[in-house]
Amino acid sequence: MRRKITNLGIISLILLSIAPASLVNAHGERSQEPFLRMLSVQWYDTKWSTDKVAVNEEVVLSGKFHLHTGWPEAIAKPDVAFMHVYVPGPVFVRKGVWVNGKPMVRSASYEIGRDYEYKIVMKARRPGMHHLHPMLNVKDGGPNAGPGNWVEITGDAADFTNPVTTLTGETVDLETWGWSRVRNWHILWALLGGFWLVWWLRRPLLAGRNILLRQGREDELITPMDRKVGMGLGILTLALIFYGYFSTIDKFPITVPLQAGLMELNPLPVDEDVVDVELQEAHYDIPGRSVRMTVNVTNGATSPVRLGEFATASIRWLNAGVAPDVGPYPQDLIALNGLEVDSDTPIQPGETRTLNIVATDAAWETERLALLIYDPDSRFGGMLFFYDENGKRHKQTFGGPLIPTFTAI
Amino acid sequence: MRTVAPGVDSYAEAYRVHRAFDYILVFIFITLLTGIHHLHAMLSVGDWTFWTDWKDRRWWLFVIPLSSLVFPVVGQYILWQHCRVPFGATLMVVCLLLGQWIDRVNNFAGWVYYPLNFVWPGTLLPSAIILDLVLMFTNSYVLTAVLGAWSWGILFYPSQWYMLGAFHLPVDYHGVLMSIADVQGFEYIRTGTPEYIRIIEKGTLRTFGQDVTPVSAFFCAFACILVYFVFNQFAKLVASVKFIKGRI
Repeated sequence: MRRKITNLGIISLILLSIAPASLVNAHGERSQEPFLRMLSVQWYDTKWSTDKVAVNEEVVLSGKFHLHTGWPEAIAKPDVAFMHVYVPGPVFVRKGVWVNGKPMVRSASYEIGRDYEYKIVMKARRPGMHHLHPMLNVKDGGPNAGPGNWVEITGDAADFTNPVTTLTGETVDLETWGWSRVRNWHILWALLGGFWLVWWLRRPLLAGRNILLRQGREDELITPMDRKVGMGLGILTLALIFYGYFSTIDKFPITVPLQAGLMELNPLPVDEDVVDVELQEAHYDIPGRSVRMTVNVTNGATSPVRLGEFATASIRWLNAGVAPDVGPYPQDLIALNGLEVDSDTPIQPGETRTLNIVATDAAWETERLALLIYDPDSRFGGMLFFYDENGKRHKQTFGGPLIPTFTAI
Repeated sequence: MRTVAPGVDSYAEAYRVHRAFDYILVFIFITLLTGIHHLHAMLSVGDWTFWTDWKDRRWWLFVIPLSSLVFPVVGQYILWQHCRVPFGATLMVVCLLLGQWIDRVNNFAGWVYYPLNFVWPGTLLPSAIILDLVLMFTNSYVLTAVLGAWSWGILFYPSQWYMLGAFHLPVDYHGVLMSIADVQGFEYIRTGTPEYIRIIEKGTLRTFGQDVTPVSAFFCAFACILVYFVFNQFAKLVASVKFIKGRI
């Protein structure tokens, strides 16, 4: 019996070791709970300036986000949040982030119900295909990643340089700056520490000394030479510490402490010319992979509008013929004909109309938004984009309860 | 009737056996302690050891010496108490540094491409040498706690400035004043580490204006005295054969 189990174990191990491993793509943004993705940060107008760059070239990631008024109670409010990017480590370096035109190198306080516009400049560092997302990290709330797109970096990583000019007038390469001082200092101390270890290791160390100690012959264990060497090492150690400290002050007389604290940030102005949306009811048709919404729309704009797009969790359902060209956008996050509206004629200024909207796409399943039925807060939300005949856009966020339908409609 | 035969036939052979025993134990201890001490540092004060933009003048110089003193105190006690070998602290710090550099070179730089000048650890070897020497010269745990542990804490910051100073040059970064270390932290992306996670320069220690470094260092030094006493007694408690008496 034992042999059988052993053989089975060996065979299993061999099979596991030769089984093909699938490539891991992206970084788990789909694993975030749907209610969190649909009711917190609404990303829109996301653009990548290019999808292919050489090492040392830059990609600009830009767009906007709206902080949903239905922000879940389960996560902390964005009183402290950091405009971040979601990439697999420093394959790019981030050369600058601007939010509403202000440089945003640290965290700031963001206001729920308001919009923010960002621009992130990334410089290519390591060749490969990398998924690049905008991301907003909320303190005590966690990350919220926007849409991700693949960007290919070509060239040789060894060519990468990252110069920065200091206020003291030096231009330094952040890839290597200060490294020789770190390396040399560590080597110096490793030599001294190693010397002290070897000084004792060259003689009987443990058992022999323990025996002598127990025999009361302690005086034989620390010799006068040990004391002299110890004294010399102590003086050298202190001298090197003081030399290192004062020579560095001499070399770099002007330094500043690490910078901390929140940055100031104001949201974008509120658009007065709005189309109001009120959700009446919403059902998620699980077999049909579609959400059916009934909304009351009041056109507060000065021109007739039609519904062109529903967006949530970075996925876009478009009403073909109304929404303008969306430009380059990740194909797996867009449903070009995924939005149906029962009353698709223009809504006149001042008119209130009830629309029955169906947003259908496999993305509900593939992007794991269908898992909303397992969430503690079974509400959904999103943004509706209306367009007038001149292409002017009016956006409105909305949200509310979502009831699952488990049988085919 | 049991008979006991000597395992060695001469003093020379006994010496060789002792040395072989030493080398085997030293190898085992260094391997184990490299892993354990490094793990302890990562779990207790990891980010402060990892990144230059966490190495501040308020928390870094306080938490690193304090947390990293635990193993040296215990190692020092065991080696001094039972063998009168005065390198326990140095050995522990060498093990720590060995683990840290294996980690930085292979994981941080080799695996996820951070430049080494962003992820270097500080060195506690100057402090450890002084701690060992104080014990050797005084042969007193009380004096080693008061003088040695105090020196361990107070010497930490000046013994790092040779490395750290270069990273505190000021930079005008898109109209915001930053140090080079801040710029490194901003540019070399830590996807799972947003900026607000940094525990730096936080606290109410504002009375002394710009001179917060010596205040933090002195506070750390006094706290190190306490840590030394506590873990010296801990070592005394556990470094004993009383737990296995009667079983061997």
